[in-house]
Amino acid sequence: MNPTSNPLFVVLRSAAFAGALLPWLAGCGEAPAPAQTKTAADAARVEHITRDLVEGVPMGKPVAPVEVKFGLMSSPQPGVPFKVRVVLLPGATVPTMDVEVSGSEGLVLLDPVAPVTLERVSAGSVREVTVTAQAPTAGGFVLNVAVTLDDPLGEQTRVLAFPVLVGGSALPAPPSRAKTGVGATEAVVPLAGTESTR
Amino acid sequence: MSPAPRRLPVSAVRWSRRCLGVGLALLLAACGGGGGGGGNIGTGPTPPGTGTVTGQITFDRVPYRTTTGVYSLDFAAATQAPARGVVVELLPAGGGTALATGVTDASGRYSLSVNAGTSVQLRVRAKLTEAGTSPAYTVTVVDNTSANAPYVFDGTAFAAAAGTTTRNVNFASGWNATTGAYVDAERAAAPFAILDTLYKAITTIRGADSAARFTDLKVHWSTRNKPVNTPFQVSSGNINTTFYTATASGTGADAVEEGIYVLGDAATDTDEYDESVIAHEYGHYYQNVFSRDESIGGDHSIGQKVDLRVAFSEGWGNAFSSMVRASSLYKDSSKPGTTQGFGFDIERNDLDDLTGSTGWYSEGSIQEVLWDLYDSSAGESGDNVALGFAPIHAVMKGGLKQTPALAGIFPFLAALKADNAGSVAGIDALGQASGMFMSGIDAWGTTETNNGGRADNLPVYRTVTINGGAVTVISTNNVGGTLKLFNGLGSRKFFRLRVATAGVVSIRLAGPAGADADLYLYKGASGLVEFGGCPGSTSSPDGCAGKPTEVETWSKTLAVGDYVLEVLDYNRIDDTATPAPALGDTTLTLTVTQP
Repeated sequence: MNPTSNPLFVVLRSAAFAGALLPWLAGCGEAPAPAQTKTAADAARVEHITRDLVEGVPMGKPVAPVEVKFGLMSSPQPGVPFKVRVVLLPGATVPTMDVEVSGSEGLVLLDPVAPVTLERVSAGSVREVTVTAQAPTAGGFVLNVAVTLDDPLGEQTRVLAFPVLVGGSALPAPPSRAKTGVGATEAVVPLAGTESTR
Repeated sequence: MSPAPRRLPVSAVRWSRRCLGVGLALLLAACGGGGGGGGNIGTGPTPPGTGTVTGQITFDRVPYRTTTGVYSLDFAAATQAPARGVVVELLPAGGGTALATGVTDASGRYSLSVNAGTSVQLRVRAKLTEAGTSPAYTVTVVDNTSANAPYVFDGTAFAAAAGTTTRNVNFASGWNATTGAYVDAERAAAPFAILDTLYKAITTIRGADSAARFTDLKVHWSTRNKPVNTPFQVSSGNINTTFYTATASGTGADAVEEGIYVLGDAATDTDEYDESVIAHEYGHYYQNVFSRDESIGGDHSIGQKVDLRVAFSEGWGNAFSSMVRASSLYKDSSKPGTTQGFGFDIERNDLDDLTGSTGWYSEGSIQEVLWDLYDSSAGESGDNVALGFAPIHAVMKGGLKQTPALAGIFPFLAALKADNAGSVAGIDALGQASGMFMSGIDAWGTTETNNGGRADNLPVYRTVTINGGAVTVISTNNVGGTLKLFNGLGSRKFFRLRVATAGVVSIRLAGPAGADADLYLYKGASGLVEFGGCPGSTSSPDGCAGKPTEVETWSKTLAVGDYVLEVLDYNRIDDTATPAPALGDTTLTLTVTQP
């Protein structure tokens, strides 16, 4: 089965297109200056991998040196499993990094149901876990992700929350910029311009 | 069940021959009503008592930094570029119906006339069109976060004195050099920058086909359009990325109009100055309007081996983008004010080779071939063809659109060779260099020898004969030892089906336990004829009641002709499944019968 008539189906074509080019950043076209190659390429790679993602809401003090970003892979609907990308950007090199996912009341976690351990974690690397969850009804839910970096000096944990809105048009409409201006009945969005007479 | 591919409705267009020069160079016609009449650039002496308002409309064009390998915007190097082909109106001061309407010329200039002494104000629309009552094209930039209202500029009131009054307008980028950030309310250049890229695309197409007529297009841009899909909702600016959709969907706040959507959020990524991106998406619009796009979508990249329809569509998008911009460099800036961005050069012939994806299933290979067929760059070894756009356009709207095969590189190259006998050797050399077997090439890829690393990827189209017994085929997610779901090479297999006698044809596709056998039936330019994929299908001719998942059967009355059957095991390639399908193959058995 596959979601039908989902705008994301179309959208992902372009998103994937952009993502597809990531590996080429350093190697294509005009080659970057050698001293900048790795840094520029890495930064751009991370930028593009996470370009469709959003920050989680920090829960407590951010102890562990890791950034976590989230992205819905499909529009959550009541009773239908949906996936969330959880991208981890560790700022330290550690032997293992544990990812534990939990949900607010009513949000059923289908995968992973146990903590995930990622091994040989390098600072500056990009790691990813896909979470599958399901909500029985429309409404607001929260996905919590606790990331623990384990190294010989001890554990450091960071917890972030990711709000998930299930079903319907969950976003409040932004204020319209359209006005009924001098064009009588037509609603338009006014542009600023500089007029001159010479 | 998997979804039926989106149909691509091509709006009926009116057809009338039209000279390119009229539309884009001379412009200006009387479209407005009332009062003092319409625009009259270059039409002779101004009648007594007439006030003529002239001027130039410009916008800030922000180029890329010139540092090698950096693909970010350089605001310090911005220049004022002419806003070409955009609509200019004279309104009565304070508002009302336009007294005169015109279109700017190739220098951004306009001339409008009204009765002398009339108090008026200038309106400039972010709308690209040509003069006349039946323009061949209209592109409007709207704000998808404001009920799709169009962008306009309204000037200050003034009296149109007898003789000539000058009124120029420049639209700024809105970049504040002091703060190093945009002032969103001042980003008026963006809609005109987008339109200018599309002006180039339209000019390229009409340069090859002066009679070309385009369906109306809306470009949805907003400073609130951001790379967020939580949830995807264009009315809120959550557009995920810049994209084109040929079909409208959703309702209310979730409605998505047909058209191009462009990122504009300064905090994350803007695309209004990324001409490569804008033109790529217009390339998909072009396919929808003039040719045929059968891409099934899904994750793809230069380095992947994918379904031939995906490879062609995305390779076309990049090549078309380069053609209309006359540049092989693809550039995409990221967050404004940073040095972030990426790019590549499709003139390079090794982008596909470096990733191990060279051939008819590679968008990297296809963009290289298409660009080299078009370009006239000197000094490239092996590229002895410089066809320009006209022969390519002819194939896109001719041979490729009409082929009984699926829209991939094979029917394109076969038709191009047939249309350009004098360039066959050069075309063959380019295709061959990109891993395509060119000798005797036909729309079906019959002679192809490049199997992409798996013997069962060939032939590209198998043959199934009515009442000819069962044939087996493999649907796989194993592409070079790596899991590739939904659109990987070999995930879907194709059969040629010749119906010699009109009547009911019965089709049966069977897989092992646990499979989800799906069938698609296509008929050339008519596109999808039928889809069946139980459970859950509403389009399967016989319905799904009582059917096992692993067997798909249905009967349908078919006309005489050539058809393509696409078969797959959806459970093998489902990219939404949890856990993901195991790496492996599914053997499917296909039987077609007729009483």
